[in-house]
Amino acid sequence: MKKKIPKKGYRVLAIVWALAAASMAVAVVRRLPELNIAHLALLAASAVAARSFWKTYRRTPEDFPEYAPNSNHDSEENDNE
Amino acid sequence: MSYVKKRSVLPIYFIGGTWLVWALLAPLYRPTHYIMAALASFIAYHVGKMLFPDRGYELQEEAAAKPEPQAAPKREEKPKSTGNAEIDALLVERDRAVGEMRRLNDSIKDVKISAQISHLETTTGKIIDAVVEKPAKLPQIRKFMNYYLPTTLKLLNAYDRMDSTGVSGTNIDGTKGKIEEMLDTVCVAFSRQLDALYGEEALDISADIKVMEQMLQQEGIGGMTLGGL
Repeated sequence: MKKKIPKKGYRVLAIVWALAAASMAVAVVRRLPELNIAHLALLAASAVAARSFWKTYRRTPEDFPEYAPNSNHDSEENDNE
Repeated sequence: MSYVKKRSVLPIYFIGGTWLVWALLAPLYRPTHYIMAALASFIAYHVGKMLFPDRGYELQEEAAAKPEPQAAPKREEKPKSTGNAEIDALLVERDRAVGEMRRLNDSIKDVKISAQISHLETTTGKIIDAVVEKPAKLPQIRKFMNYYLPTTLKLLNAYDRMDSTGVSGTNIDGTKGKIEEMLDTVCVAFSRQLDALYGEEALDISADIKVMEQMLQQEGIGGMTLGGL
């Protein structure tokens, strides 16, 4: 079964990709006199990924602590038998 | 019994942080730079894992802190394994949800709400039984299991808590009224969810009927000609 990513999982992914996009932006700015299309492409790709994860994070319904049908769906928890 | 592992997310943030620090302090424009940054983030991730390890605890302690519902006498007994872990989990969830609904039904005195809970209980059981019978339908009820069912139980729990106060007030009455209105919609939605599970079957049967009609017509024994035989 395809494992469902919880809301908090999307938040983690969004933050990590936002950091990646920031890194690419810094790299582009530092090499501004010798601007390279590959750097811009990486920057755009990471920004798109970060934006996409933020959108998914906002759209995903909240996890329910009161009655959680599958405890392994909750945030960063995994059940190990 | 089972061990629940709570994964630490800080090591994952370390990966992003390392890339940012690398981009600020070191060159990042050649493939070798990217490989080195990736290696640095890999190391940072493992250092993070050592500094902030995953935490774990026994599930039994959690269960003791949160008492199980008293109802659902027969189904609460340990279910037999079907050989499919997902279906086993689904059966456990069915028992838990149905048990919770029964407990709420016993607790809530309102006749209309009680009848609605009984309807939801029956429909939930039927939905899950349909999927247990045909596990291929499992993706169809994923949202139902992960969102609609727990939210309904959450609403019913809130109603029960407010009802048990025995106090009348703007907040309590208003919320109870909203939940009562919502339950009408939820009952219809649960019924539609059950109906949707038979969509494929209905299509197959409708196709079979069409084929049979055509065959009967071709053979000259269908429709009006049948009386002529």
